Amino acid sequence: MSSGFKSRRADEKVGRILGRVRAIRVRINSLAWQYLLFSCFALAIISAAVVLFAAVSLSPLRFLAAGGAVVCVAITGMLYVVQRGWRMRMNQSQAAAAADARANLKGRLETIVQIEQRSHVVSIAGEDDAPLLLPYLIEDTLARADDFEAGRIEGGRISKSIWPFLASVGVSLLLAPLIMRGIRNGPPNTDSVPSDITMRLNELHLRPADPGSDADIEVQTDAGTMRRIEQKMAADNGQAGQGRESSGNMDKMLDSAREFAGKLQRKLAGGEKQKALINLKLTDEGEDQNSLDRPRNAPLPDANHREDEPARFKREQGNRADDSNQLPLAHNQESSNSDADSGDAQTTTHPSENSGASSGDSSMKDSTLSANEQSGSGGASHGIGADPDTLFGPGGGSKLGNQGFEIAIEARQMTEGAKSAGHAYLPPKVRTPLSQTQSPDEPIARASIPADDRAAIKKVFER
Amino acid sequence: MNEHALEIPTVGDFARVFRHVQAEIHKVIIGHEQAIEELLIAFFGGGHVLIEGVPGTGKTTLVKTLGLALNLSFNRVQFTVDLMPADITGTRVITTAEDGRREFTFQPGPVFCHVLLGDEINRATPKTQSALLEAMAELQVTAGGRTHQLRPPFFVMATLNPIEMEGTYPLPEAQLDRFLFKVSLSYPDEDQLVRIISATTGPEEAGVEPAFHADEAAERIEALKRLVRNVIAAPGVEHYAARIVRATQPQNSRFVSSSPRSVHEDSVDRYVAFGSSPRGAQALILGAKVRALLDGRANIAREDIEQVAQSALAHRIMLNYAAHSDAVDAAQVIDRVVKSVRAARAA
Repeated sequence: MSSGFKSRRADEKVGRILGRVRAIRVRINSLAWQYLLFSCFALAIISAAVVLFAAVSLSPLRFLAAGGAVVCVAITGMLYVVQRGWRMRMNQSQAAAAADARANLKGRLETIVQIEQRSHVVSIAGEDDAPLLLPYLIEDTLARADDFEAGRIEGGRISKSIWPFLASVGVSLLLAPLIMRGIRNGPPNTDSVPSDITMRLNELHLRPADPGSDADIEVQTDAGTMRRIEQKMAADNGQAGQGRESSGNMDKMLDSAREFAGKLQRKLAGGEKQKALINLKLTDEGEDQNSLDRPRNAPLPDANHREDEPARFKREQGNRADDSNQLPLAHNQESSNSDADSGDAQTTTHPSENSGASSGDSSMKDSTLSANEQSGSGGASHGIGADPDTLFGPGGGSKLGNQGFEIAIEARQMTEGAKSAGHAYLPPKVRTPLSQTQSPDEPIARASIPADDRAAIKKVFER
Repeated sequence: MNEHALEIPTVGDFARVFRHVQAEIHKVIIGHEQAIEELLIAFFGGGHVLIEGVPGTGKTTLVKTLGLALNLSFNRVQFTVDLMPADITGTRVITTAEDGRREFTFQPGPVFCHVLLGDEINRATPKTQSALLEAMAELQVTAGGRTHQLRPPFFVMATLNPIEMEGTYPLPEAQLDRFLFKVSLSYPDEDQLVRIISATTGPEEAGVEPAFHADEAAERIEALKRLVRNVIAAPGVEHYAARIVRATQPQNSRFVSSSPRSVHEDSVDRYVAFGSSPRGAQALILGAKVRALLDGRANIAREDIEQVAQSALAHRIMLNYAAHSDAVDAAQVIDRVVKSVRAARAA
């Protein structure tokens, strides 16, 4: 047999072996890429679905926590998947080693591939100076060619990671209706909320607006009511400030986080476009003042009575139609009153809940005191001296004014939480037993003020 | 067997001869299957074997039977404390020539044979031990200022008695390194012992049929040993052997595994004073090549290397006092090393 013929035959045989190894490598690498892509897509899809779902269904802080966790898990998972997928890729020698291991070829393929890479066995296989046992190795390996067919070494053409991918798509499709519904319901629904709402002051529960909320509300009221609101807010802030001193930084961080999460949520849920201005008109009535003078242990109006309050207020508004201090936006009363009858108006500020929450444990006569109690801040000052106008007894009836001011108040239609539970949010009361040296906190009886000191005391409180 | 086959034996020839010799030895030696296989692997790999075993386990019989099965010349030297190098290598003696003149002529010692048993080699002085080691490494002896070549194949099987260590001279590490494999012979189990009794106390002793004729045995065995050298080792497999050897060296073990504190590293750092020399890698590859031929392959696989790792490396690493106090032996360390290198490769 001539040397050239031997060389051609050897080339052919080695070429067949290397071709099979190449096919194995292509299939393994294809599966590696499929794993990488399918897994990454699966992670991305399921993460996006969960984040969107969280955006439309969770409060800002919870959304921030859940979304952050999901994003972290997704990024970590993707890094792992990319790393693993990258490692699954094989060069020719690694593919030969894998085929050796799976077909129990004891290193035959790897040896041929590595020898070929090192000294181009294809060209030397037929030469006289070839390794003595190389032809034997090639023949021996070819005799087992069926064992290292690509289909036998790596059965499937499609990576099993397609199942997680399909599962993630399925879960996302299941979540899609919930997400769409959340997107529709999530932002303030301005169609169902009246643009002008008239409320009584004592039915208004004030609390600082959530930084994450940018719902703008314009409040219009008379000078006296405005002053009371200012006092009420000052009292609220004073109480809140005492608690916040210790956790000021934490609150700032939480506020920032809430604000950031709120913006993110609105971007994800598309809420920016539906933001609308609501006009909230406040009034302080003499008749209502009488209701504030009610003793604390007096029975509360029942639920039906409370539901009739807006209607009653509407009637009273009608009776005072000729009053000079009439609300400036009286031309909107028709629509306001009709809206106030509806449940949506109540859900905005929950007047009945607020009045119910603060009644029953005080006999204060002062309207300011009542206002403080309404906001949950009563007890610290007992209402005495909080308003210089009523320092020495019940003040006269408030006069309605037409001054207006703007204040950021969270007024959003509530589809769950306080409305569904039937109560507004009330801060939890912590009851601590008194020590033996303490006595229960009771209102100090109003004493008579010497006539000479009245001016000085009044000046002090006015300050 | 024709002359062509004698020149270039095939893979099948090798396996056939190997199995034949193995079977002939087993006619005489009961049990010790693994030890006999390792002995033959070392023989065809061109190395020498250090056998450790208690007295009466058939060490001398094993070597004698090997010589008979291969039809090679066999000598035995009992090493004692007063044994001199010349007693092994040979010496110059005064002889009378035909013309009546007296002259010094070299009288070859027992080392001039194909298979030599050095019994209880650790009882001789280091000087005598080194005389044998020169023959093992260089296939030559120097006596009276003249160097005499030994005829291949030359195979030394030295025995060590692990008990009665008083008055012995333990082999230095450099001398231990010259042995390709170290094989341990343990006590036979009950069934084997019964078979030994039956085979050795009966009226007839088992006969051994040589694998070759005496005049061609040496040449054919050398051809088989050349065939072993022609087994192909892929670069990846050679790297694997090198990695195992480096992993036994405390100063290099950390570079072998990707894990900074792997099990073997703990083991090597803690228990090994000195790791294997490069001869350990040679022993791994040569032993693996013989194993590959026995399996009908022309290439060595990583499994072949792992199978000979214990025999090839255990006597090449020096354990420290921590290993002795923790009752950790070299075999355990090698086992951990191999597992760690395998795991590192898989990762």
